Amino acid sequence: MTGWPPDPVDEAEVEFWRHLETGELRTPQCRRCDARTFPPLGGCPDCGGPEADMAFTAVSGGASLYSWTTIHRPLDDEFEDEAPYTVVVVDLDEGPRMYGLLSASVTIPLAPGMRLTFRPQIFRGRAVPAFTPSS
Amino acid sequence: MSAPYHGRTAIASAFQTEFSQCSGCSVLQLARTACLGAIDAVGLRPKDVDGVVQFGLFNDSVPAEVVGAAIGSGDLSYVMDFAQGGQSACYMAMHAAMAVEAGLANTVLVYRALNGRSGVRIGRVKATGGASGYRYPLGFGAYPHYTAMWARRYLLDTGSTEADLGAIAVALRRWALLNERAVRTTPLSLDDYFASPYIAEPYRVEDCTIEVDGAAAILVTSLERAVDLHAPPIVISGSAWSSHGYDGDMGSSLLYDDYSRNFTNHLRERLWGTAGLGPEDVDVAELYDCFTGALAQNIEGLGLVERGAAGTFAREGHMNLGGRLPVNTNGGLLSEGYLHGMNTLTEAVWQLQGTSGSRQVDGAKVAVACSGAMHSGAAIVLTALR
Repeated sequence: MTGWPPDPVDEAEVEFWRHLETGELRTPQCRRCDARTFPPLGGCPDCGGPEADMAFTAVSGGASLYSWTTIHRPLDDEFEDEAPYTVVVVDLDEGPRMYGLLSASVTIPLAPGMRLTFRPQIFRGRAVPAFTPSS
Repeated sequence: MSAPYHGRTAIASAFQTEFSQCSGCSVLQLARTACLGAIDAVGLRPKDVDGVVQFGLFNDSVPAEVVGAAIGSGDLSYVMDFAQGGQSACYMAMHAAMAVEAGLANTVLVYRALNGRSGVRIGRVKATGGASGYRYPLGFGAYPHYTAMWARRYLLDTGSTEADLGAIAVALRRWALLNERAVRTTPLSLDDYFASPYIAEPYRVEDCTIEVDGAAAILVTSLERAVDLHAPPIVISGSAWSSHGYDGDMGSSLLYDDYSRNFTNHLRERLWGTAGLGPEDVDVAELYDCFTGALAQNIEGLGLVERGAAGTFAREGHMNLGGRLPVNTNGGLLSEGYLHGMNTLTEAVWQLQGTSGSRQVDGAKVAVACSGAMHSGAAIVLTALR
């Protein structure tokens, strides 16, 4: 919630986007038990390890499509000019579930379980996770 | 595992203000009106109130203690402010019943008050926490978007169609035409439904609730005491809460496994177990329906209809007045308006008290109500003594 005092900067969030700016998709992974988690939730939800033992490590970029919605009304002025666009929920091959855009050029029909590959995309001037059907 | 308050506590009364697009008064004023209405309905005085419970999001409400002071309640021995949304109404009734059964309070008000259209529009407030920071940059930022992800997967996994979602919207509008309080009162056909524009596929405008200003309140006390008050007591016979894969951000569902089955799937057995009743015993159902797909998942998750059959059930008229199981008899959040599910619960109380007027379900003795659409929420089984 916005207000005073301001929320502290979420360092994990900053790190995620910093990797994405360089074209890399990374998720937190526990050094103790190797479990991956997303979104970052402080420590490791699997083994209870501390945040200090969580490190952002790269994933392969392979994913399966779980669900999607094509947004016609963003209900946020910043995105009105982009509509319609499609947001996907994907299951990364390494386990965690993640949001992304469907790559803008995709026209083939979507189906659950469809194989996708991570391709960073610039959206509203910012690198975001996007996914395109695997060839 | 049944909590001791089941069968021993009751909802004595329910009250609602009118709903509007602009109330022209403060949230405190709305809360005060609803609470005083609920107290007056059973012949009590504000001084008799010793507990107040409320819920709100993004500072859109007023704290329980403030409302206690504003109505001139007695000293409060139990208060709670719960910072969640649609999950809350039935859960707040459970809290009030717990407080009564535990001896912390005798007479507990539960209210929801908001200027949901003219004041803080919760759908337009940016959330923090959970995965919120990973979805806003994608333009994935509004409730219809989040729940559309669930509706998509529900359609895929059950073989249901957009026409099934439309049948639900049509059925609830039919109820709204009998409800002078309802905000959406234009008759709706399936053609009208398909003509309404997409917001986020598969959801159209007519799949979505409509924000309102207003307030609703109930009064909870012991059953022993409620039988002496001026309205038929409605017994809290069973209840349950479930949270499953919720990261604290309503817009995020990355920790939730199966988007085709919501929280009701995780509390169904506990709910009916606590009540000693089953879906077959229900005369009327008042189920949280911020979106058509939420109603489908709620009615199926509670075991009231078979999985994937919600649309057919609506299309065949079984949700209507005189149908096999009247559902959302006030028109639901979809057509009466979005009082965050508190109006879902008040309608259940009125149906069992027999005061629902032209939309009254004849001889209704058992009702089920639920609060929530996705990861977490609550459900309650209510019974009439008559």
